[in-house]
Amino acid sequence: MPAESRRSGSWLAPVVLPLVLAACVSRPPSIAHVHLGHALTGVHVTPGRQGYLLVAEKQAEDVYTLAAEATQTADLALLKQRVQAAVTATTSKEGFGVKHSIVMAANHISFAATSPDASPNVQQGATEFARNIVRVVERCELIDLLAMDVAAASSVDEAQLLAGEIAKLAKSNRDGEDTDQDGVVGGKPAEYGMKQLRAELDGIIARENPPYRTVGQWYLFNLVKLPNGVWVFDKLGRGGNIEGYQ
Amino acid sequence: MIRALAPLGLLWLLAGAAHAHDGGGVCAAGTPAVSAAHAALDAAPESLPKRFALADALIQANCYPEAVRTLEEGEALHPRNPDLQTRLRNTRSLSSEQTYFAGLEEAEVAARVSRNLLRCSRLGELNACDEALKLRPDDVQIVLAKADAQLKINRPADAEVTLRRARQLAPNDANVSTKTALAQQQRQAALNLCKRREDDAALAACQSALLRGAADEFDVHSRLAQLHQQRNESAAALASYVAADALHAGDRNVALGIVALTDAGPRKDAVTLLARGSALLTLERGREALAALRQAQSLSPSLPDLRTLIGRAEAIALTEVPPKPAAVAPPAAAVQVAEARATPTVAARRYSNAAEPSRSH
Repeated sequence: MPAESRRSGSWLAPVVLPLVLAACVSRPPSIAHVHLGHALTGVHVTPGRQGYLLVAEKQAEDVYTLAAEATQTADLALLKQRVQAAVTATTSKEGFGVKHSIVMAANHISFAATSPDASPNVQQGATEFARNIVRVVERCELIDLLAMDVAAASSVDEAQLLAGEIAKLAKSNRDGEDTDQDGVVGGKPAEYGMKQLRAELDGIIARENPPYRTVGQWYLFNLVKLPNGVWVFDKLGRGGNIEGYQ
Repeated sequence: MIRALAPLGLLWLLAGAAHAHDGGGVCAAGTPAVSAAHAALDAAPESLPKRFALADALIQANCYPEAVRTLEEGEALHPRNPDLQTRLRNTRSLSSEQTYFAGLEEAEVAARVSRNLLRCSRLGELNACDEALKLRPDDVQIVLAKADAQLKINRPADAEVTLRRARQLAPNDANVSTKTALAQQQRQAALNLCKRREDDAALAACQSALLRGAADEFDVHSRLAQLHQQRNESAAALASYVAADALHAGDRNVALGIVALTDAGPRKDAVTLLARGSALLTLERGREALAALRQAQSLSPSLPDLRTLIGRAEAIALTEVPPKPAAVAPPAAAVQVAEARATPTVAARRYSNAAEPSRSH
């Protein structure tokens, strides 16, 4: 090595710099961001290991398709079958229906807010998000009740009327609604559907500082809650235990 | 430091969450514990332990937003204090949870109301209207939906009563006035049918037109009684006559109906006997009225107007001609002797031949 280089220490840069860069890339995400990732990206308990909000969005789309199909038939038995499929996609816990999925999304966003590393943005946003899912939950409850009425209906007219109402509710859950007829769909929380809730979560993410980065699967699926309540990553990658706080 | 405190914070969070989850509850900010904690903090506003103690007392009293405010006020005095930040974060979470769970419970109730309202307004199901009203008794939209359902199934009198309630809730609502006019029209049509025809449709029309307190209530009860009587429905007829008599005592036709039905019917309860006595008084049959009224008195002395009616019956009975005593029947032996004298006897036969004497040539 030339004497000049030895004296200035510039020979260190090619050695040290890669190590520094590697450290920057492999720094773990904050616990708050991992909880957000469970809502937005992935979690190992859902179908396809997708994030709770993604599952809720997909299920909302399926519910609308099934409910719309139910309104197309005059065959009472077939109508009842399609409505039953729609309500399963709405309320099933095992199947991560719309209601369960959106509630879990709100729960995990709230857990993010209670993390020691949660930003004020997440703390405030979590509170609002939890409040704003209520209308979607209410529509899910109503779909469930009306589906029971469909199952008990003995006339096609009554069943079709109710199926039509279920389809309207499913559409509102997907797109939002304009109940105050001001020309704006989903203009306020009482009109929210999945589209508006997605936009709200996207807003929380966009305002994060330091910025939110999509959390890698390893971190998403290996978050562990210790007996003392502290969240850590399982270094051995044995899978997380979020079921404990579901 | 933070890691050491985290378990305590979490335990505190879970304990608070248990309070948040068990129905939430109303903020009880006036408790002695909260007042004492307030006083302690007022005396030493810079003290973090006293601020935490107040926040804890407010949480215990279900006053989550107040607890958050208490801790936020502490931020200005103790910026970046890690313990304060942890407590603030957890208390905000508790406050959020309280609102969240209350919201979910409200969503469930709202869904039930919406379902009942739908069945009430779109399917005309009265039970659903009543269920919705149990949850939201002052919701004028549900009251109007119930009135609509009643009009749909031809119960205009019931609809008018329901619309009176709607008017109390929303005196200036034009919808209420419109529906009230519609109900009145429908009731008038039912009344016309009730009076003009004799068939089952007329009976149903009378029942649907019967409005308590209306000027025509007596007429409808009387008409119902006649229609029931034509169908030999004695109990229903008597009930209608009695209702009519209660509204307007002294109607001769009603009185005749009551007397005819109580003569033939098995009912001997106090109310029926009172009605019979009242009807007999209308027909000025005092003794009979008195007998019925005294029987009613023996069964139920506190019936309204009973003493007045007995007094009137006694007064009328005094003016009535007492019935003739019945003729005394003679003893049986005397009857036989009299019968014997009255009937001629056949002469005893003197010939040994049993046959009647006849001409031999």
